[in-house]
Amino acid sequence: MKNLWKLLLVSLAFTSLQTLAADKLKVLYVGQPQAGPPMVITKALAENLTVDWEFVSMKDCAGALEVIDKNENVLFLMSDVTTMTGHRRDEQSLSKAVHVKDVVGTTASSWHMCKVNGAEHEIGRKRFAVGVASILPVEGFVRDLNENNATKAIGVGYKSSAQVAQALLNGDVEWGMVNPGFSEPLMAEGKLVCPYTFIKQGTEMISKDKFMAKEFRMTVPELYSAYLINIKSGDEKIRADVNKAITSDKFAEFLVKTNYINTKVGFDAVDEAEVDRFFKYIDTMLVELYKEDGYDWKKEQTKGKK
Amino acid sequence: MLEFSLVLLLGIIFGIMVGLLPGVPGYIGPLIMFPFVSILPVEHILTFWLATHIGSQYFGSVAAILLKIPGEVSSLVYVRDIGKLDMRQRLDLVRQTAWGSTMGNMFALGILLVVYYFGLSTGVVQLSGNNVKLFLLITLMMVMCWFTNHKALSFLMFIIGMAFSEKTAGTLPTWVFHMQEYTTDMTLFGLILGMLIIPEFIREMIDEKKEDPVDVNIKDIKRSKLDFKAMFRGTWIGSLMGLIPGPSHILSGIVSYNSYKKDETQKKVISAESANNSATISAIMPFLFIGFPITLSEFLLADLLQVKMFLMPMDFKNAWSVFGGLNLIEMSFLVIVVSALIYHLLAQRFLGFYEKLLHLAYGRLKLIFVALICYLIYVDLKFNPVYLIPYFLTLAVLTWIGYKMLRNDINPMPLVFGYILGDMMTWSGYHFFKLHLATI
Repeated sequence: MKNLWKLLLVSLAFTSLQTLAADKLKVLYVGQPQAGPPMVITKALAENLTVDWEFVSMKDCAGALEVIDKNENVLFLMSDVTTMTGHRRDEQSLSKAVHVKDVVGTTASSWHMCKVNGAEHEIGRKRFAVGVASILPVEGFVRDLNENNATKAIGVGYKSSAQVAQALLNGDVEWGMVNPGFSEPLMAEGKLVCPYTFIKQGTEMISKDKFMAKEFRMTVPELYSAYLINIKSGDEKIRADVNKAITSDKFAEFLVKTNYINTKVGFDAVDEAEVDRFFKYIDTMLVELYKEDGYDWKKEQTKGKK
Repeated sequence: MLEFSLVLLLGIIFGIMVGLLPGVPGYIGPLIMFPFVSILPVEHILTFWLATHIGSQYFGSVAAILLKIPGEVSSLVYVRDIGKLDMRQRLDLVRQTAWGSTMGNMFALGILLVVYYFGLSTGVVQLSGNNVKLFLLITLMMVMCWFTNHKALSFLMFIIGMAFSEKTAGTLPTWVFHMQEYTTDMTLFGLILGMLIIPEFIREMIDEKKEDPVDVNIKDIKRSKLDFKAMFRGTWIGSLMGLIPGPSHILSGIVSYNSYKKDETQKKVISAESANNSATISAIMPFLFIGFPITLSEFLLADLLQVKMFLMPMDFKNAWSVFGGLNLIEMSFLVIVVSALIYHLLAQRFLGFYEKLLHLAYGRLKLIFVALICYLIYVDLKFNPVYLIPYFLTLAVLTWIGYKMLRNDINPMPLVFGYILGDMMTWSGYHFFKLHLATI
């Protein structure tokens, strides 16, 4: 009998430990291997948390939705690019799991339009190649640029801004859209010049006067890649901790130093209009640049796609 | 200094483990550091990564040569040739490849030093244009398929492998991605297991083939003359090809391997190992000097550094806390030298250790192989979030195909390499089309 009690106590302790581990905040990342801006943002944010958390990586949105569904506490980030790509391929996207009350922040990254220092090529009627990180709807943007400005640009997709910069330096492309994180250090070293920027407010190195849409006619003047940060949790302690982490000076410093733009952080700063704006951008890109069906995120939430 | 030495030591230990253990991916270094990013300074992250990165490549050949199970994907190219060698020759080959790896590391490091101190980094990047890459890839495909017994079938297999490889070019037509839905639960290591490792094991079981003659004594092994010529050939091929973005170490190993005649097994292996080790070092060049990550491992590391708010490449010029006179790039040179030398000494010392392991394995090889296959499946599932039922179904189908091919003496390598290089070839072909043929 004595031993049975002991066994029961041990089982109880073990079960409690398991339950505690299960309640750990899951910081979710979609993609394999874990690379790219979504991973960097979620990781940088998680570094400022005080509650226990663990990183969970799923290879696709379907798997990620399952994690969100099965766990009480999940911090996840959704990107407009993944959503757009998923929509075009008729796949599930995380928009199904987005609830305005759970959105704790939004941010975005954008690009400068660069060429090699000393290159004489100008954006005009002579055929030229523009390198773009393939995540951007490159075809749509380039077609729009050509249609509105009678330019002869060919859009060439690359894996990342780093590879676009490399393609510029090795002479594969004449122009390239390069994230400030890569382009500005190369500008400082005199390897690249970036006469235009897609960032409306400009940066320290490139003023707002060089905003691309001021020089060229563009149907969608502001091009960027946006992220929506969500916390699914009913635990007020966890929600407060995430809110504190995202509004911390350290996270703000990270966003500024790594050139993220259009940032709004904290439950108070993000409302329904902000979430709508995030999804409206996806809709605009698909309709205006891709000539495809629009995107209504509220309808998406009720869809039962594969 | 003590902290730095400890991190370096840990990196070296992990490097050896990652290299020796088959199936553990070479890019694991950044993943190991993932939970410790907030507490580790950048110089420690860089040191650990370099040591693990070099070690995983350095020791990746050991399992491939002794057990015919590739420790790293880059060792895959010669794994079928290993069956032609007895265990004495294999142990000797381990010694030769260790020398080749060291030579590869040191030669590539020499290039790094010249490029850095003479300010040639931008010029070096110009060598990595798409036309060069595409030319190399097509030549490679031709050579690989031409020197098989079934040329047409090999070409077809290469194309099939390419078609089913996971594509990352988001601008490709949607049907490409829909096609991949059928193989989404097939992993690279699953393919290698199914097409090569398990069929070979089943054949040996069915044929009741005698076990490998593992009862060897290190003193009996006649140490052959070091083949510096093969090492040098691999080294310069790897040093140049390392600059090509993507899995350039695999590519350089294949090119170097195919640069020798079919029956020159030892030369082929030595050259391939020298090539992939030198490519591992020269691939670091664009990353350290210009801030361009060009391999998967570098991409992962770059993300970790970004979390630390480390701006590349400028912050690489920050002073090293141990010797203020040196910057982080120079610290990296030092880490490469120290790691490579320690790996070299250990690899030579390890020959006795491998011999003891082989003695222990004598008579138990079948059991060890079953355990290894289970372990490989476990590791594969650990690193690839796949759905279990489709994964095992695919593995079973691949094993059946692999076994049939083995029985009919058809080499499945073109299919495997089509799969490995498929994404790179797709990108390169797409770039060629866009840059030279596309109209507005």
